[in-house]
Amino acid sequence: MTHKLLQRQLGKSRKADGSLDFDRFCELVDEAYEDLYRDQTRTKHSVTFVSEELEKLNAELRDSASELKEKNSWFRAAIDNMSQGICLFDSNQQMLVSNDQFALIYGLKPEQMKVGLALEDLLGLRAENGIYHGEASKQYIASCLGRATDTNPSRMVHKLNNGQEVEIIFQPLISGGFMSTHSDITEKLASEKKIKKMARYEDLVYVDTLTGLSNRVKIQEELDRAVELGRQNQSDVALFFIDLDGFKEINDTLGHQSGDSVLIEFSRRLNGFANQDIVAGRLGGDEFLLVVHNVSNLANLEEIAKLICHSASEEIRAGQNTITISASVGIAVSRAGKKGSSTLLQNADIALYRAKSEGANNYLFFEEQMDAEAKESRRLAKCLKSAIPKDQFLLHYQPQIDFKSGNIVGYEALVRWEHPLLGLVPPIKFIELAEKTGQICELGEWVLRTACNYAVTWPGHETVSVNISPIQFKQQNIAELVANALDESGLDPRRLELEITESVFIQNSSDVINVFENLCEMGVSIALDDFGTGFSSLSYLSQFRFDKLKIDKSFIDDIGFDQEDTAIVSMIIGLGRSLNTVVIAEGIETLQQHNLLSISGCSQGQGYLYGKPEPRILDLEHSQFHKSA
Amino acid sequence: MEVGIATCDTSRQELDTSKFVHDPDLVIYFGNGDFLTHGVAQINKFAPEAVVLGCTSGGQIQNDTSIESQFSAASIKFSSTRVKAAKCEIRDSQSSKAAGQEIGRQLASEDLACVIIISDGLATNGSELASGISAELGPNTVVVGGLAGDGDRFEKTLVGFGDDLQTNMVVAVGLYGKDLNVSHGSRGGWQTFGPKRLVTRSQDNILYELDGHPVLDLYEKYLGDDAAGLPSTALLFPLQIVDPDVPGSEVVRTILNIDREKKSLIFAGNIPHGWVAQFMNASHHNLIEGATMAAKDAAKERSDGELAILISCIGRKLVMNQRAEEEVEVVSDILNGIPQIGFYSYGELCPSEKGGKTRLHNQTMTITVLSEKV
Repeated sequence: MTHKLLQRQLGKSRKADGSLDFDRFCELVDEAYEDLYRDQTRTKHSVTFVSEELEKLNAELRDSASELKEKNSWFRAAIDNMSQGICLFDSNQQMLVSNDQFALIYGLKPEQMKVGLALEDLLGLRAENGIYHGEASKQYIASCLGRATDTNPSRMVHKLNNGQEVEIIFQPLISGGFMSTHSDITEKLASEKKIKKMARYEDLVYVDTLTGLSNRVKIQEELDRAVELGRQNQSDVALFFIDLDGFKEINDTLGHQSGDSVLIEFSRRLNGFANQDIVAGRLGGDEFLLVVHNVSNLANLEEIAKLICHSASEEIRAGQNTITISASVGIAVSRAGKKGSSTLLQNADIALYRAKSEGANNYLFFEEQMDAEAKESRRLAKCLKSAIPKDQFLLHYQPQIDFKSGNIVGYEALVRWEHPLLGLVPPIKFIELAEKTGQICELGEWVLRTACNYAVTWPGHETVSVNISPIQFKQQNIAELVANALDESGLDPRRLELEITESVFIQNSSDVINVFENLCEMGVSIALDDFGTGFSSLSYLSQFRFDKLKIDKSFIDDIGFDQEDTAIVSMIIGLGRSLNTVVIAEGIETLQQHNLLSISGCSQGQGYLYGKPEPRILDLEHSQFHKSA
Repeated sequence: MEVGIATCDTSRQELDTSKFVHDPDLVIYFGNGDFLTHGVAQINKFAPEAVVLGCTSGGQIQNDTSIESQFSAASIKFSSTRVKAAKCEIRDSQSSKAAGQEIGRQLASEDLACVIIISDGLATNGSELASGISAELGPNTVVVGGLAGDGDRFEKTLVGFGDDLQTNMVVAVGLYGKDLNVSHGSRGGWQTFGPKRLVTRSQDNILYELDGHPVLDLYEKYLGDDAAGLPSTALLFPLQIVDPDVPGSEVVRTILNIDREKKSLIFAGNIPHGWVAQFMNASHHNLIEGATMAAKDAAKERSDGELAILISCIGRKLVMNQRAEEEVEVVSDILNGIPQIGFYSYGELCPSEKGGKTRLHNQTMTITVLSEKV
């Protein structure tokens, strides 16, 4: 039996005559050996190389296996220390990974949490534990199985029998399957409820219920905080004190509902200024504050103040009414928080007061001078309180002359305050103060009674004129007050004249006219004081027939020199004549003024020319003014 | 069906046409060397009416030998089967699919039983050619064939149609009729070895990287001293590639060329990105066992074949050298000594299983057995 290859080699080495070509044969055999050797070498080389390569790969595998083991232990530690339960399922819904917290939430034993556990079996185990039961369990299992194949993430909150609430988030994985995280949110939900409750409570404590702005408490806190921050950051803080002009009249004339509408709308506009550096709040009534942090320059503040005044002046719709109001603003600045919040508030208030007294619809920055004046005013207010009990007030009487006869026809009672330390305090300083503090009522009542009591003692029939403040009209029953004074003194009502100013009509004019009519019925006459200086609407002249119009001193001063003043005076005199009303000019100091007025047809006059206000009236024999004098 | 096979070895300068059948319908030839042009002229002169096609090769196979003959040709006369030839230009590997489709369109007919296709061995992407022709033809047509060879030189392959011999050409003959029986088998016998590697960079039939490393570096390391013989020595280590998502999708790929600059290898078929590749090697014994299996597959249905066309990969011949004849012998033994003709190719085309689509194979012994019902 010869090897096939050898047979072939022998066959290929035959010569034509059939004999063996030994050289050719050797060549073929040699080639075959060479082939074999080359094959062996090649095989050896590749086997060596493969084993080297495999060894290298093996080493890499070992390294990565140990790295993986280490990473796995980190991963394990990480997921076991998570506060959430975690479960990872493959696309066949078999568990790949879960953590201790997961078992804990559902009361499962760690040994039950085997890799490869089917989702349905796991849900079964949870059901067995009585974590949920009955229909709920079936529904829950069905819903979980549904979510397991859903390709969108989803969230559910499941309440367990033990009261625990578990938030479950299903996150599908790219490789199929899903991851679910399970968080015990029982406490979170409870504290959310608590926070909501607290937030509601905080709203009540800090929010002005009518306007939604920060209320008095909150804005005060904001101011304190702003000043403190200013101190820390060396930044300036400004406070705007805003008051609506004539707001009380809106409430009185249109009702509180309209007043509320105005407050709500103005608050909305004011809140438009709020930003990270500006906080708006309502102090109460029609008073508002704006706290401004990080003030860069006063021009900006001035701009804000202008805008506030402008926004207040835009019409406000309140039901059927369109209301136009204005606002006054007082501004105080605390440099680097050096002024405390209470000083700042006081200063802004003073500036506001000044702005209002300068005609309202205006803004003013606080100046130290204002502070001195305010202090003075506070001091006066304090003294004023005890002035009546301490009998510090007295009345001076200034005569009023009839131009035709030259006779004294009456006296105007003028109140004077003689303070033991301050001396004689001018009326301009304390009347307004008394009006502001409300003491004017008590004072007015005292003036009325004192004047009546004195007038009754006069030998002649001169009238006595008593000034009544608009505040008195508002707060007191004037008719009753007058009746009492007349009753007490026994003065003939025809000898009493009440001087009122136009501003009394800002209130409900029909009420005022009722009072006038009552007084008129009593026989008391009514003079309109300071005529020509106020808003001089002639409408109330048609509603009520005044007994006397009194031309203000300011027109008399320049009469004969100032064309306009002269014209106004002539007009008033003409008006009086047409209304058949006595016209009296006050502040007459020169004969020239006297003559001019007399020629113009003015009925009566009052002034230094005829006599200064004196504590006692003149003797009878001197009670006549002669043109020749 | 009558078959006559003529050869011309190095000692002779004439083809012995007396071995041919009279007035053949089809002559298929394979050859190389200086004699080629003369041999083709001789055939055309002998059988001017016949469809004549063939190609250059890496060695011829005739009957039970694979001696280094210059030329071998089979003349076939069918009793009822009709033949029709087709040809098409194949400019480059990118035009392979279109060429396959064109051939398919030229030959398509309801009774087309078999197509034997031969294409340029260096310009063709065999996978695309197979996919192109399969797309045009129905499942009842068996497409077999191979890519022309150029010994172990990989420089220039020619494909013949009539008396024309050209590069960049694909030719085919369609065999029509219900009397033709076709069976086939295709096996390699190679075994995978070493680590599996991921195809990380490739484009069509060009492979750049395995596991992120340049593939040429890897081949050079494995080949050692044999690296000097690249690209042909790369045939010693063919690649098995498999789509990791499709079990059973294993195919074997051999190298046609290398690009030293780009450190890439050019294969006879596609190397898809993301597939898994593994080196293969073989002993003589394994390869002969592969050929045995292929023959048994081809003979499974019928034992009365009349002609066997053997297309074996050049890589097998490189490994087996003198023993290459053994695989031809074992096939002949199994097929009862019926006439055999064939060549060593740069790629084999054949369905993987009966009724399947034609695919490119590499490193296989691919056998097609033809017969006509009497």
